[in-house]
Amino acid sequence: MKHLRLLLVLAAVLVVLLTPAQAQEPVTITYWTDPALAQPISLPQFDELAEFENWQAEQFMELHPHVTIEVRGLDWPDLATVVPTAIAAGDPPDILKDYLGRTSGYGVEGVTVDLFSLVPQEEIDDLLPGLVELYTIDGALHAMPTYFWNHAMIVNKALFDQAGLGDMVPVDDRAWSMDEFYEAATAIKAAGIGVDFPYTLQVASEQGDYDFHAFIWGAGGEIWNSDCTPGFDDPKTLAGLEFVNKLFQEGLINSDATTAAYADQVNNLFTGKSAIMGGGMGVLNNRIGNGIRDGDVTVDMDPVVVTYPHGEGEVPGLGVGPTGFAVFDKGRSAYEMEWIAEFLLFLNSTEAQVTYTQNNSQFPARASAGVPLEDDANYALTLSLIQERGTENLGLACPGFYEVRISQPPHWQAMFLGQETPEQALQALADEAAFILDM
Amino acid sequence: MAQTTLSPDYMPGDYVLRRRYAVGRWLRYLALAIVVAIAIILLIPILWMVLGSFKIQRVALAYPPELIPSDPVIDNWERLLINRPSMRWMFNSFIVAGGIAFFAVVTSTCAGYAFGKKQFPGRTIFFWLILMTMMLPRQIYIVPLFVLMRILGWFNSFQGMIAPYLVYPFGVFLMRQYMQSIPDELLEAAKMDGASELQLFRHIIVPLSRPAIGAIAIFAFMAGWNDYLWQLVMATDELWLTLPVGVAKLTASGVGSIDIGVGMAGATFAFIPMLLIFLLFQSYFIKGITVGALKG
Amino acid sequence: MLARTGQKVWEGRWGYIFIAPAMIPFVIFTAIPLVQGLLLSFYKAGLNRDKWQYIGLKNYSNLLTRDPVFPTAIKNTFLFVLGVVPAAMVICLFVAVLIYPLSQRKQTFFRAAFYMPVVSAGVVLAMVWVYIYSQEYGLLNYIFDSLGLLHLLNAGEKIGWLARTDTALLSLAIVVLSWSLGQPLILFLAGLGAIPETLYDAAKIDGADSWQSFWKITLPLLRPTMLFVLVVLTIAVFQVFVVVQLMTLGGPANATQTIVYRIWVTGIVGSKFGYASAMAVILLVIVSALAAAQFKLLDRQMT
Repeated sequence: MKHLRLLLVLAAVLVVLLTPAQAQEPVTITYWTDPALAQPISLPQFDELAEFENWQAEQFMELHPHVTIEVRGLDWPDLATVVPTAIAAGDPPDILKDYLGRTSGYGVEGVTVDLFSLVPQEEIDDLLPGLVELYTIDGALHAMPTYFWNHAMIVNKALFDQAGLGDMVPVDDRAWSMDEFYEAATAIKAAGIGVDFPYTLQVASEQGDYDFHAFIWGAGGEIWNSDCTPGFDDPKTLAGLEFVNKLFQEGLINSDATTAAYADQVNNLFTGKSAIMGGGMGVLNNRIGNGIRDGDVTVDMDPVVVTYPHGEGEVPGLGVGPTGFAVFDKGRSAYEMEWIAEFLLFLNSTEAQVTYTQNNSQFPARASAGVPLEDDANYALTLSLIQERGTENLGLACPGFYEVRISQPPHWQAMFLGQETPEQALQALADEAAFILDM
Repeated sequence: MAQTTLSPDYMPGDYVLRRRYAVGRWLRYLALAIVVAIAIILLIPILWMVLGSFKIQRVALAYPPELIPSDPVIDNWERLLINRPSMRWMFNSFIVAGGIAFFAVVTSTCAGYAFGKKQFPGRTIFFWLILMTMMLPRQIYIVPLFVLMRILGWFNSFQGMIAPYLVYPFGVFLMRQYMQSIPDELLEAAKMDGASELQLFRHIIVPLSRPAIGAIAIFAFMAGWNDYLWQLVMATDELWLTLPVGVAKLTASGVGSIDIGVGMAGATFAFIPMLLIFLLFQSYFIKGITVGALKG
Repeated sequence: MLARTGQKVWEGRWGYIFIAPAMIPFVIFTAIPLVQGLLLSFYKAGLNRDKWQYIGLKNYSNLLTRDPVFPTAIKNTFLFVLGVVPAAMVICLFVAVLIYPLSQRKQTFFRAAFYMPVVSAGVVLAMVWVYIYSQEYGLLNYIFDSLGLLHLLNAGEKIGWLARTDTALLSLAIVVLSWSLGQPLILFLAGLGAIPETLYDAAKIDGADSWQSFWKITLPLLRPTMLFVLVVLTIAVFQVFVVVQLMTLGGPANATQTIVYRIWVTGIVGSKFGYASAMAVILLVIVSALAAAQFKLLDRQMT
């Protein structure tokens, strides 16, 4: 009994003695995030910008009280403006979560930390090899991929059924040729059930431009070739462009596409003005799912995933776009970098990826995360389509990607408005891209 | 050039019903109808904004639009006022705009007095230098300024948002113009009586400049309230956002989508303080605006 | 010579003391960053400061000979100024002359109505107008439709006001115009009040009709006010940006690109700080030349 008490006292003394030794020097980490996790499915309390990311940071801070995480949520326009300004001024965040299309620019400029030297090899080995390859710029892993979205066509089959045209939707092989698509679109417009613009699109900004590019890929054309030269001179690119232009000129695409916002596209689909829209699992589950829940969908909705119309003999892949965590080089000490790495791995853990991808209906970058939405038929279908038909090259990691990207919408607009022919638009874009890449 | 004297207390409405032109009654009515129409066109967007704040997304996107929302909801306002620190944003905006107004008044009055009443080498050059910055958009030097703020460690702070506005070129210009309406004889007489430079400034210049000071305070306050870009860059913490910046963020949740109702609620919320200020200080606005352009 | 300068400086010491509170922050927070910004125009300057590189005048030669969008931006900026500024002047003058004889209360209503858009932030108004201009659910199309105007304009289809190259610039100009009316109106009202009634009485006795008294008395006596309005409006409209950024992003087909928006897209979004600085220098040259001319005119009128 006496011994036990002595032991207890000793233990208490030991605890007191050891605690100060464990108290570590405080570290403050800044973490900026994109607004991608909007309207999560099973985390309804997190429906404002960065609320989910703040919750994650709090968990980490509970585990490591000496670390302070400052989270900042940025919306899409801010990501393209605030982040570059901060980098140029030498004050970027420690960690940024953003789309590869933007982080690659930071990688090319050499302002990010090579994660091959920061992250343990077994963590990298768990990432999908294709993504690691995509994220490697000049031999350095410029950011750590966390998930990717997919892009395909979403067809509201209920409207086709209603018009007695259900057979025109390719539910068997999930693929249609340009002619089949054109006929289906023409038929549903002519059916007189209020589908004024069968396919809804916007070319007002570069946001969501894969809704447009996918027609070019379907025709076998490219925006970026695999060697990172622009593909504006490819005859198949022209064929795809001519096809979209035909759709627009014949009223098969909403006539305000040159100025519409994403919300307008969603609204067109929700109200049955359109029957087809580009999008991936996020649109299918989060956008449409929540739209039905909130009563914003005013027509019957039976969304079906189909790939974009293809030219003869072409098998178009799906667009996929990865997002990752970039760590910026701001002269942190080795000790601080240790904790930045620790937080990075916490954010990109298997468990975090599962939570995240489930709520955002995306695909995890880690092999160990498995198939988070196993029971979701469309999710499984999309995965099999990706495996079967491959992915399209978005050119996300090409130098000048972002600037060439934002130079495009004016010419798509000019083409729709009849001020440039498809040939002229491509010629102008080729010249502009040459100018951008030359500067 | 005919010069006219204008007392600072002059109000245009004091001269009621002076008919200067003999225009036919119907022509006059027609013209007035046009004026009323323009006024209505200017007020419609504001009315539409307030109405929109009570619409859920489906109603906001309906066509034909519901002029008066048949089923008004307060969800948008709830999301704005309860879920977000919008009161803190408003507080931030008041401190920033108020600080900008305060410093603009101090620097403009001092500098305007010197440019208007003092002779010293370099006077014209300095004046034109300040005036030139009025013509340049901030986008040009935002990066060097950002670097400076980083050195000073002024992110997420009121001083960081106020500092680039310590000098308000339009205020300096206004004050210099106004100084020319203060007769030199008055200053000379005060000097004869043995007033020091500082006394002169404190007891003659400042009291006489009150209308111009009011105008500068109001204009600088509005400029500070509306300064979107710099405040966006300086606030990296949600609690440090100002009202217009915070409100603009509200609307852009998710994949580039726009929630119109919340946007309109935010816009209305950001509009109300300025509206109240205008209604409260209307006479100052009117007196103040006229100060710069017309002087005796 | 040196002694005389020193003498002058000493005599003007109170001038320096009084401009100091303005000049010191001006130098720190405006002049130095501005000069740094402008110097960048001779550099190839991107995100990574270690890679900045002096390239002489190449940014300028690229801008003036190769850039596909900048000439359009200059043209559109001038169209904005040439459209909005005279329209604001004419409307305000018209309204001021008409409401001047009204009672105090009625005048207050009109002043408030015209001033409302001025007090609401540009961001706020742009958001509301995007909503109003919308092709599919916009209020404007509904009003036009109800009045039967859509039929007159084009076969009954709803108009995408911001979607067409022939209406987009005009639509933005109307938004800018809406917040450019409040201050000139108040100025003109004050200016009218400052014109002695006796002049009009005398003119009537001389047998002048209304037009003549407007042209011969009102307009000349309002000239200082008009010049002031001209200068302030020109400077403000030259920097038109918020409407472009929030409403059209320079589209459709570059129809609403403006100089300041190009500076924003190139410098802040595209991170080509050197190239954007060269654009800024060109803007500075244009605006300061115009403003210098206007200020000179103004100074002469007022002193």
